[in-house]
Amino acid sequence: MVRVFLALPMAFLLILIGFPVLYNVLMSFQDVTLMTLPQFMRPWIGISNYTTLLGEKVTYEVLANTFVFVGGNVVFQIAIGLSLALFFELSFPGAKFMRGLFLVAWMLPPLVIGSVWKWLFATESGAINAILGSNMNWLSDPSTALWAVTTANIWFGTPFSMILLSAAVSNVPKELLEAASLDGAGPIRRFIYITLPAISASLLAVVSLTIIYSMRAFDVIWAMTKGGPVDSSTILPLFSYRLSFDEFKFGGGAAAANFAFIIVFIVALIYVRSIKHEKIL
Amino acid sequence: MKRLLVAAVAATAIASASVAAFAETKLDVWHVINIDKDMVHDGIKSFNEIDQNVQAEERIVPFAQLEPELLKAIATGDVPDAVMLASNSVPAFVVGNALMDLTEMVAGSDKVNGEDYHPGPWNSAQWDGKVYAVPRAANTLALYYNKDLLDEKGISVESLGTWDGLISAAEALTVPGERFGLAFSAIATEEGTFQFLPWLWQAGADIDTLDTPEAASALQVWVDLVKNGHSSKDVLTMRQFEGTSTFMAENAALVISGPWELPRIEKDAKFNWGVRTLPVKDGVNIEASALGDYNWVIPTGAKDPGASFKFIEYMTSEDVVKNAWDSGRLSARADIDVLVNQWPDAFATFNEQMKSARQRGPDPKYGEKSRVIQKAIQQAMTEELTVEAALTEAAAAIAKIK
Repeated sequence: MVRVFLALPMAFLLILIGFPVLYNVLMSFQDVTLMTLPQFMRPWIGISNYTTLLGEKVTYEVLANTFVFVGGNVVFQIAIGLSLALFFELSFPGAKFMRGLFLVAWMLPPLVIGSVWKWLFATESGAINAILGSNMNWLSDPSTALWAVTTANIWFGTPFSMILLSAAVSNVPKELLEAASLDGAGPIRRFIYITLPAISASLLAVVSLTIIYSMRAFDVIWAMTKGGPVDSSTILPLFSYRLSFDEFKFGGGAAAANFAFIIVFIVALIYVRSIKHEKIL
Repeated sequence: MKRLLVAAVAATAIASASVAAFAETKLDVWHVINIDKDMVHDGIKSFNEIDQNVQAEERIVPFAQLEPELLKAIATGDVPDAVMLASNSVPAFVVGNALMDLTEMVAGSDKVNGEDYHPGPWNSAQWDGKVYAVPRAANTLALYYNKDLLDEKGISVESLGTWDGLISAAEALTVPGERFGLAFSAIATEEGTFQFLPWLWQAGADIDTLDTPEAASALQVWVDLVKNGHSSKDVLTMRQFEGTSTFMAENAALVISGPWELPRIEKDAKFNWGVRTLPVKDGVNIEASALGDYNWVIPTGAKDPGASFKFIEYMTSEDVVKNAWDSGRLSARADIDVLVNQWPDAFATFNEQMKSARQRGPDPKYGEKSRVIQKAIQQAMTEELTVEAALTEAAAAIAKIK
């Protein structure tokens, strides 16, 4: 009986997750054209898709963009999310309600968020330039476009980090905090010596999840810049999409997707380990 | 026994009746048109009234999603029965063996005749001497102007007929911080290439001669318009739809756009507007614009090609095509007089422009080459590279695409 219950989720995982991943790996070693797309066995070309990608300057730009995008998202989503979680932990009227309200941002479709931020960042009619009194070309200047899409994605992802961290923060034993406070520890010391160690496992989990979610970001950037200008806001998922669907280089697209997969896989391993760690605690 | 016989007859009758009800062929039709007034909607409706046994079911796929969706369908082998494909994409799909060869069906058809079509659209339906598609309509780019603003500045519509005239008009019409002279789209998608090619052709260059002074002069115009503040730098991320919106909001006095925007402009533009043909380069005088719109195709592996072709025959027949102008589309067929119920001046302008509209390609690698052009445009307009350097790089990249 146990085996039946085990077999169902295993079959689910193998068919719906294992197969696409393996299929993508297979494609990245094949010469896939429109003609060979419906077939399973296509000309085997070894690592040529990878060497072609690694031989192009744009690949490194995309990797660097991905690094900045994901890094920015992790740092700011965690910092802002944790600050908000701590803030809403102070009990004031409507704290819980307002915390819930924050999740609205996370529930909106990413394409809508992208469109709204495209308007906010518009040069002439945009709200951000109006407020700052500036005349910046946020989305059409290669030096700011990546930061603009990163900002939009941080706004999008922060509520999710906040909710996860809120749960962790509210689980910190109150007695410990009270005891520390009686011993004369101020709020900052209480945070550093009690709250932070107590939530470290959750923090690691949220960092892993944020990395995984940002590595998959597509819609927000697609709506705002389509990866431009001059690839300056193109990250791995957009790059893979473009190779496959604009240029019909399916093998190259699969290879680019595998770069992303390897990174996400490593992070996922760390995440799974951190959950195990949490249980032992 | 008799009772049994009656029962058997009755059962057979019911069975055959239900067979008839279920015998209908369902045609899975994909297209991208979400404008209510477009002929495609009424066309499908009236097609379904002809024969209850053949019913077309439309699925509207957003423009940017159509080709990825079709590729997914091809990869899984479960393809739609008829698809409206961007005319410039036909060769790539043909070379990929993804489209059915319609040559024999067209030869045996009394409804689809190559001679009836304008040469541009008909060429876009063929590859390597065979017919793979039937053009559904045609469109092209022209120049919309805000008549009130032109009058205010004393600029004549005729003067917009040359590059120099247009550029100086764009300068005169610009009010810093309030309004730009000219809006267009230089976005890093096919829309950007579609908008750039007319300039490239007007200068006397083409996709395979990007490293020439002629090509540089075309890109230089775009770079200067933005650098001098006569066009917004946001053209780099603006779709044609958004560029037209700035025109309607009077944030731009002129816009280069297509006839498909007429319904929206008429509804939302609160000023006198007009449309004229694109300018020519001074001293070169080559008229050119880019040919757009879609072709009907049948993907390889469609379950009933005969029924699909009947559908396409109907959708390209006079009954349907005569309504093309309702949503600002021109007929791809020369033998059909489109009903001009509205915008007669614009109709004349776009018809005139159509004479010099060129097709993109045909080239199975057009998509890849288009990407290279988009990159060069963006590199030059963000001043990451000079116009010459960007185009030299692009020419080298295009020479490598085989």
